[in-house]
Amino acid sequence: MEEQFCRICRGEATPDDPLFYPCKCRGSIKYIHQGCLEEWLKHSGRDPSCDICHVKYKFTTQFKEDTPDRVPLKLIFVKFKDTFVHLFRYGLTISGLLFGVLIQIPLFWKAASRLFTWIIDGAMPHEDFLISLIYGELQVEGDPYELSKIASALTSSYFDSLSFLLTWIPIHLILFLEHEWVSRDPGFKTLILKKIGPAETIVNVARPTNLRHNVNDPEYNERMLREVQNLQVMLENRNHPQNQAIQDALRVIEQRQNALQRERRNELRRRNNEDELLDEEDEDQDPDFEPRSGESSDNESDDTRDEDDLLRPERLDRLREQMRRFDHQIEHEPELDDQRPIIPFPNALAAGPPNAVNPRRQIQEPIPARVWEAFHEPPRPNEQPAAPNAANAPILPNIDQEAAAALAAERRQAAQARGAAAAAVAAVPQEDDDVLLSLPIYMIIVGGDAFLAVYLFIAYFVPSGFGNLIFYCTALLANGILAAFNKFLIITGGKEGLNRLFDLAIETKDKFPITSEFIIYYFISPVITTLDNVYRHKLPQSTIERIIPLSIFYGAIYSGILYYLSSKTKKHSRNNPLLGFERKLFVLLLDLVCTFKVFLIFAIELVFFPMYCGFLLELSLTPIFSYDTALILSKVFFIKDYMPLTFFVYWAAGTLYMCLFALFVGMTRKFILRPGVLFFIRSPEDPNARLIHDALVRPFGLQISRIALSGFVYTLFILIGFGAVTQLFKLTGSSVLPLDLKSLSGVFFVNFIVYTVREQMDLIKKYVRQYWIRAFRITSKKLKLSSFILGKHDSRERGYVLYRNLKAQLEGAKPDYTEPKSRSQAKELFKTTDVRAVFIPDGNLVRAPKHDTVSRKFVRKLFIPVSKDDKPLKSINDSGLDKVDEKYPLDEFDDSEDELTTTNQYEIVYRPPYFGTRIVLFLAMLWIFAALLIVSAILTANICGKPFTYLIQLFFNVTKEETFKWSHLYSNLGQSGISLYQLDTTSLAVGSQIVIHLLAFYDNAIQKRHIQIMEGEDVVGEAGNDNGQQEAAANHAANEDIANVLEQDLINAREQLRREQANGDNGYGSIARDVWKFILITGSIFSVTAFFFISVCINIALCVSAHINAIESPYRHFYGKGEIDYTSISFHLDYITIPLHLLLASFTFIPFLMRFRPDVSKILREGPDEVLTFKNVFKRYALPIISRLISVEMIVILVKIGITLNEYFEHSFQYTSLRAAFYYILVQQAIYKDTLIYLWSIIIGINVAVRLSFKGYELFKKINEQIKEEYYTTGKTLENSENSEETTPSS
Amino acid sequence: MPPRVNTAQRRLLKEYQQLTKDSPEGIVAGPVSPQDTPYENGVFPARLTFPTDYPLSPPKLVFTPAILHPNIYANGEVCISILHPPGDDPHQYERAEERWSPVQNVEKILLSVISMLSEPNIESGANIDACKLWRDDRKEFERTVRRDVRRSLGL
Repeated sequence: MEEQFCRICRGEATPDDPLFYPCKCRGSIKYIHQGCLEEWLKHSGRDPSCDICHVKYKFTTQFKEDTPDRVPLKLIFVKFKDTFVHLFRYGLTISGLLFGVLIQIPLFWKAASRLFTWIIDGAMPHEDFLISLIYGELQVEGDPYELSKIASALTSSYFDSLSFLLTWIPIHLILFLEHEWVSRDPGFKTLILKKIGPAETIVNVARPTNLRHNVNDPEYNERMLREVQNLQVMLENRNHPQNQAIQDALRVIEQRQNALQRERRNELRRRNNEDELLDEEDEDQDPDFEPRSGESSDNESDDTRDEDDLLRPERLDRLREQMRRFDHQIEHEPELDDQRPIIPFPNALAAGPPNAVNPRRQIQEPIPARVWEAFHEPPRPNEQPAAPNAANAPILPNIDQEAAAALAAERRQAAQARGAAAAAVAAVPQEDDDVLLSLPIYMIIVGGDAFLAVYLFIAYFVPSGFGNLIFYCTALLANGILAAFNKFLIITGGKEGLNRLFDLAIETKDKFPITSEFIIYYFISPVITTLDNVYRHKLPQSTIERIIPLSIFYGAIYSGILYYLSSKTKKHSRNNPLLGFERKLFVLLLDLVCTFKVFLIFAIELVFFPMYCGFLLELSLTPIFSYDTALILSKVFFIKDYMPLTFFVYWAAGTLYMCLFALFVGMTRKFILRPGVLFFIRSPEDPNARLIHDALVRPFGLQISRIALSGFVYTLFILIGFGAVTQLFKLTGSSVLPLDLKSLSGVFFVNFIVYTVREQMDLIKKYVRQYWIRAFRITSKKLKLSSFILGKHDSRERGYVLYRNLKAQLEGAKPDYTEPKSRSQAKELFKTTDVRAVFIPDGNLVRAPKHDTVSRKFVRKLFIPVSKDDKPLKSINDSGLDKVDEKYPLDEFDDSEDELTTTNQYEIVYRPPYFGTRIVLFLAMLWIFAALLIVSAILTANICGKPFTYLIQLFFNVTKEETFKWSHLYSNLGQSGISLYQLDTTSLAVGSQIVIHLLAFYDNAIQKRHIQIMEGEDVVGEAGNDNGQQEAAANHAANEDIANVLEQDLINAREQLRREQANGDNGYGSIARDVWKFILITGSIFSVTAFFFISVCINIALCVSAHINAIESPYRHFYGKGEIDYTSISFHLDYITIPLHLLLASFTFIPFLMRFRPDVSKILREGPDEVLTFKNVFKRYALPIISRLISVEMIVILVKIGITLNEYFEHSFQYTSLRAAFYYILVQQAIYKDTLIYLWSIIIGINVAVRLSFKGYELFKKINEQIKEEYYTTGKTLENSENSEETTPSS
Repeated sequence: MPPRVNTAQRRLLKEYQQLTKDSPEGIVAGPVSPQDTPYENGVFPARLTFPTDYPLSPPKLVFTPAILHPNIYANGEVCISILHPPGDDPHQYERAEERWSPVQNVEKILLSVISMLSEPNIESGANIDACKLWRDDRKEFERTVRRDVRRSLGL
């Protein structure tokens, strides 16, 4: 038999470490050590299975010999206790933390802010300090120490403060983030450079300490080069008194450059030699080889050591070479340590572990033959990695002593660090349990509170105090000036004039009493009162009165900063940079200002602008929901009472609208428009779109004016685009609107809509895109804009046709387009010949941008009329091209300077006369197309869905009746109250489904038809020219996306057709079969859905009935609270019934929801295909119904029948027949009612008890196993593979 | 189970023993260049670098100096599936079975290299120039290799 060894370590079996054969591999790789296997599994991080034969490894738990079958109760108890204690401690910590952070912090915030406010006010709202702290500004009536009052006061303070914190913390976070972005933006650096000049002066650059950086750092080298260039520029630019110093510095730098280049050459040479010591991994792990090693000692050196420093690359090379030799030596003698003699000790190598510091090198060395024998010795445990140190130095005579020492020291440190890290890693798991407990909760709380207090002091107390002071002083000053002015008037006699002015004012006021009252009441007096309150500091102050001083202070600070910045900017420039501390201050303040600016712009763009759009949308869409009100949200339950929610709805709606609009623009840009038409709207795919950068660099006023412009455009789009349509419906009194929200059952179908829309997204996109392609084409053809908008140059569009007379025009006479004439020539022609129509060109050709990514500077040169061969018709006049650009001159912040890619190309397009009007008309026509699309889609969907709504309505109407009569069906049809045209949610939901499916069906059929045509003509390439979709594809052949899809569709469909033709089918048969298939599929989908729906309904009904019959009904009966009214079921919830309901719910609702919820989410995620199969629905929903019916309802009925029979046979004389008895007892519940009402409870109780006992037994078994695993195991052993013919190797 | 600090060494020695005791055909002291290929008769020094956690991680094979071959990088590093650790193949070019596992050993690696020399795998090339040359101008490729062979023999 062959020798048995481990497939990983090639070692034999030992008594301690036997070999196993856990998989089906045989031969030389049959056996394996358990330890080796575990190590490999840990290393590879894969499933525990053989990577060759893929057999899963099996491990058996080893139990102690005395393991009992059932664990003693004491152990179970201990286990429970441990778990409980652990959970308790855990819970305590968590709740402590939660309390400290979530409850305490907001309350502390409120209290601290109150304290600061009182200090500012110099008074407390209540006399008692504690009461003031609790109640704040609130008035207290009665006993202030009543618990309920305190609780309510604290709650209101808490939520007050919480909402405040929840607003401000995100704002601070956003500010911080924006600060990060701003300070990292290259634009910010340019800004600084332009405002105050570069940071490095000649002196700075020349200072040799700056040179001492890593020579291998490419960034640093780049910077050096730049600095040298800077210096040269500076030298050329001016005569600096320190010219000599500059020369010196330049010389130093040049030398430095040479050294760098030498270093690079060396580096290159080294790489070429491909020395393994410097390969990638080594560089990662061995910092020793970085040229940094000697650096620390050099850091403080001054100019005198420059020469030495410059030579450093060579010196480093030398050092490196020495180190390499040193390493080799170490590897040959890895066991050296302090105590041992410095003699090579070969045998130790065998037993010792690989050198932990640099083990690879050791292994790659040829293994000396003399260590052969030693390998059979067992490994010594606890062997420390050999750490070479300074003691090695004597045996390495040719090494640089200093370097060796440094190297050894570093290595020692590294080893120590590694050791420490390992210790830390080892220590963590032990403390795992207590990590949370050991967290100093009180420290967190105290620290947080202290931070808040300091923050409030700085951000609220100080500004408020100073703001008040400033306000007060200003007011005093104003008073003084007024008084002085008064005196001055009296002295000069101007008082008379003033009095007359007053009289005039009073007269005017009396003339328009209502208007002036209104103005005074709403505008003048509140302002005066507020200002007066702030001035006198009248208590209590309102929020606005508190904010005024704060904003005064912040405004003053901000304008101070701005003033400082501008004054510094004026004083300094590129040639006269600001340096030192002031520079740091300047950068800091500039950062602050820029962050604020960016924040403001982002807030306007991302928050206020969408909110505004949302408001406009509400304004325009309200007629959809109601004709009676102007703003719908003010009527909606819950939203109307809570202001922030309204804003949120506005924001969400506005953002959604803007997103959709952007998607539409993106679609037209990508598929329809000529590239370059939308040059003024940045595409999201534009690489130049750098939001932060633009917001930072562009002037604030310009950005605001742009936002205002787009605000205006959006206002028009929304008010006209949506508002006009809805108002049209409203004004015509159409019955289509308002939307019928009563039929809320549509909500149920929304899920399916979402799914269908997502599934058929490509289809919908395709048709919508086609629609728009057509719409654009028609519109631009009519307006002669094809060349400009679509880039389709049609010479027939470049003018108009003059007809001889109306008759010719009506008959559509065609002019000769090849011979354009002027108007007078045409008149002449009409007189002389019998030409019926003449083509007269007008408009002109202009240059237009060819791509959307053009620079602003370039655009200004465009849009000039040119001839056909691109010669300008007029001389280009540069001045007065663009008003906006004059206002904000294109100074250093021009886009083109830092735009990443611009393709400044133009093309020549035709621009018809009255261009502006045509564009407006174009937009108007697009609006009509949009309205047509949306309105017709909605109306079609609605009408398609109506029949379904009728059915649903019918169903609910019928079930509402107490007794069912077929006649109700017919009567309900008449009185269902559904108008055929009015929109309602159910119809829309169902109808859109139908419409989408019809569209898909149509799409399928039309493609098939096309293929047939093509097969017939045997033309593949240019087929379907008469058809919109093929044409679209041809137009956008560049767009591979569509082309590929279409091509694939064509291939598929052709394949299918061929198959059908092979079956002797003609095309019509296939369409008929498709219809049949469609019906079949739809039918099966409908039936499964109905099955699912009904099963779910029955499940819910059974759950409810269990709760009613087993709990509610007996409860009412027992406490004499009347009987159940089955038409309006309500539950009594108190301390008896709630636990009972909860207990029962874990057998009724909870299991049901556990099945239902994942299924619903799966339907939404992956579609109904997998969930909605008959088998699945039966297993998951119908089976539980059946089991429930058998286990409860059947028993109840059987018991009732038994009772009835018993009653009948005992008292048969009372009943005329058995039927009468059944009717009397079961239906009328005339007797035994008091007993039978508890029947349900009893049976369900038994049911629950049986189930619980089963579960309890399972739980017990599980705990038993767990405890066994915990207390009685000795470890895990590999299981040998079963079908082995050999025995386990002897150990 | 004490940590197997010197598994790598022990295993390497075992493998060495195995190789010397029962060397597979074609390997005497090292692999012999396959016959009927341009590499025939060549003596190519190469260096096998074993990681500390060998055999859990694969060794690295580098020809010094590099030789021209589609599956050998310009720096001489050999790129064959058996030398790739399992699990970090983003493109799924190679199946897990073809990659390194502790079951593999030096012998297998050397055999794989011989096979690689005679049949380059163009699909996962490491040296694009060599790939191109091999595919487009086989004669030139063979001439270059023969020149390298001659140089390696000191001729």
